[in-house]
Amino acid sequence: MRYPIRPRGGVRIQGERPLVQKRVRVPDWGEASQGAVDRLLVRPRRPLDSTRSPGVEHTMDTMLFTERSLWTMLHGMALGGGALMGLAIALFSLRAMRFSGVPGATADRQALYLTWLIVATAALLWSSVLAGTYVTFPAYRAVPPEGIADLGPYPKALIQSVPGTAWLHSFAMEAKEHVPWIAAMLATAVAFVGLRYRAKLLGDRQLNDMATVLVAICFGLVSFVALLGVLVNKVAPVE
Amino acid sequence: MASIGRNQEAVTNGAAMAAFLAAGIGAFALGVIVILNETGLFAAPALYAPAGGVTGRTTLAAAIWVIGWAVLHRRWRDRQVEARVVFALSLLGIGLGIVLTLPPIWKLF
Repeated sequence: MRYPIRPRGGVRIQGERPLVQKRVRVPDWGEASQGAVDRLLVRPRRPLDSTRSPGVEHTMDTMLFTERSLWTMLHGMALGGGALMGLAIALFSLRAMRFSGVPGATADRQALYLTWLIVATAALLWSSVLAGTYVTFPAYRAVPPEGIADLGPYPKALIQSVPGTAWLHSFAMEAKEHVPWIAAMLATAVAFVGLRYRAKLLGDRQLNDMATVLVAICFGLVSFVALLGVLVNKVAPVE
Repeated sequence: MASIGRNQEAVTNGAAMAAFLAAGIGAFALGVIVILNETGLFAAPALYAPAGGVTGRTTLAAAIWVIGWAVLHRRWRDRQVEARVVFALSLLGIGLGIVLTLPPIWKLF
């Protein structure tokens, strides 16, 4: 299977035309820190030369990230990853810390910590969902101009251009558009119950079971969409 | 009802059941909206054009979820409701909502 050739910044073949026309000189640390963010947000692009001879040396350019890739990392790794960890901890805690009988000070404190963990998890999940829908997704679905050869900046078009990866849009991204919203609703419901019922979330067997089931479903959904996101980003990263 | 915590008043289960059932309603609403969109019967307008119709679909589902939650909470917050039935309905809504948002399912319609 042949994939469309897409540019890969950051790799340069020695002896060829430089990737960046004007090299940035860094005379001292003061100036370096002043322009560091600008240089991080600029990524040089060049066509990948698939015909190069084996053994040709490569050098790495400066590690660069685009603004879109930073948003994607924030959406998937920081917010989504944080929510996934929070859900895992909440799921474990709901079972490990539950008790029967009259709660004491320890149980109250545990319930308080667990409640704020679930609240924070729900907040992370909503942040990830909103960032994904309103920031990352528009970059993913950008429509390439007619006749363009380089589909690298257009992940949806790149994925759909090859039959072998088309399912990453028709299944993975289509599912990722909606399923996370359900997970966010579930996490919010459990967070609300934790805030309102506090120690009863751990002491009431029935309520604890219900909350555990919902957090488990939520964890499964977030894991599912996170895996799909990894697969999509592996083939066609938003850069 | 006895106190359940040192600084906490005992509460009925109505508020919790309202939250759970509302989540089921919201999930089911999202699934139905997606199906209606895919079959061409109803397309929620895009609220943010660069992101497309998903913004309208999800916002509409979220609005149904919030409104449903508010109504249920207002009615049940001080009541003890049948938890098993309500939770079963919640799971049914959540399950249907998840299934209906998966492309292999809505492509059948």
